[in-house]
Amino acid sequence: MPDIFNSNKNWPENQNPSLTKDIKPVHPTVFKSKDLHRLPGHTHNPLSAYYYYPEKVRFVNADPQEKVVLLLRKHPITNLGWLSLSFLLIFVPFFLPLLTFNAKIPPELELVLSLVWYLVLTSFIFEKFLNWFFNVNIVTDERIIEVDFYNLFYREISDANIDQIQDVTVEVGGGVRTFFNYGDVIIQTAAEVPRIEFEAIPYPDGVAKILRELRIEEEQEKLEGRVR
Amino acid sequence: MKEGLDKQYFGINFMSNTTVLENYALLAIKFGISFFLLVYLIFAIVVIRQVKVMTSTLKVGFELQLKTLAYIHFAFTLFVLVISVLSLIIPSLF
Repeated sequence: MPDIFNSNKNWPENQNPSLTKDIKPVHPTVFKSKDLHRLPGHTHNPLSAYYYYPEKVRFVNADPQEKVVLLLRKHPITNLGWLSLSFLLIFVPFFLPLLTFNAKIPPELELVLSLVWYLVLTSFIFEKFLNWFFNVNIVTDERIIEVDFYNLFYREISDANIDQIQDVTVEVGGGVRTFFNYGDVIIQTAAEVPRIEFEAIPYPDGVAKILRELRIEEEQEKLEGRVR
Repeated sequence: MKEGLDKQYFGINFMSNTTVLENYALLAIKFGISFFLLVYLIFAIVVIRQVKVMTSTLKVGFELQLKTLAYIHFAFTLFVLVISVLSLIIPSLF
């Protein structure tokens, strides 16, 4: 009887996919310091939206051995709306006589009103900036963390282990998102928080790929009994 | 003109052509702004506290700059409050 399929037995040992021990993760969790700087997406800019293997990033409740693989924020272009609005609002006090229908306002009151306006505007800009800065998504070699900073008084931190990830969906829609290459990564988990969303992050496909590789790595660790 | 009739109280000349109602309205606005700024000062302190909490939650090497911004915001609030109170007490300064 003819063989339907004959596996190639002439694989060189280092290329044979059946030898799982030889499969090395594409994103090893331990890098030498000099190698880190050559990684694409590795940056020291504190205002970056995409950090790959950041060195200085530390977060609360991190395990001592836990290594941060990714730190993500919303793409900077998402700030364009409030930045444009703030820029326009700078000029509002110049139109104060028009806004008050040319009512006679004492000069000291005019000054105070302008100062109050700029104070509130400063606060608006600062709050929006903090909102962007602290709304982060962290991917470590053990788990994914979502920090939601809704306003100055309310924040929410949720996390799920890498091995609890069940499904990763990438959503990139619209011309602006396609042009600037940013989108949502939606992660379904088996953890208490069933859905973790990385919103408007840069390079969503790359992030999904890294998550997949981390899951494979985690499964491999489980098989080899190296689970922390 | 009789002595003292053109005296100003809280920067408002009650003997001017504008009606008394308008003068009281201006006075109420000035007091209202000062009160608003006093409450705002508390908000600025809360912002400092919140920034401290957030920077301890997540460290990326930008903590000092953020804390400085929060303190600048507080200082600006204090400055505007002082200006507002001064404009209420000594309006001739402006």
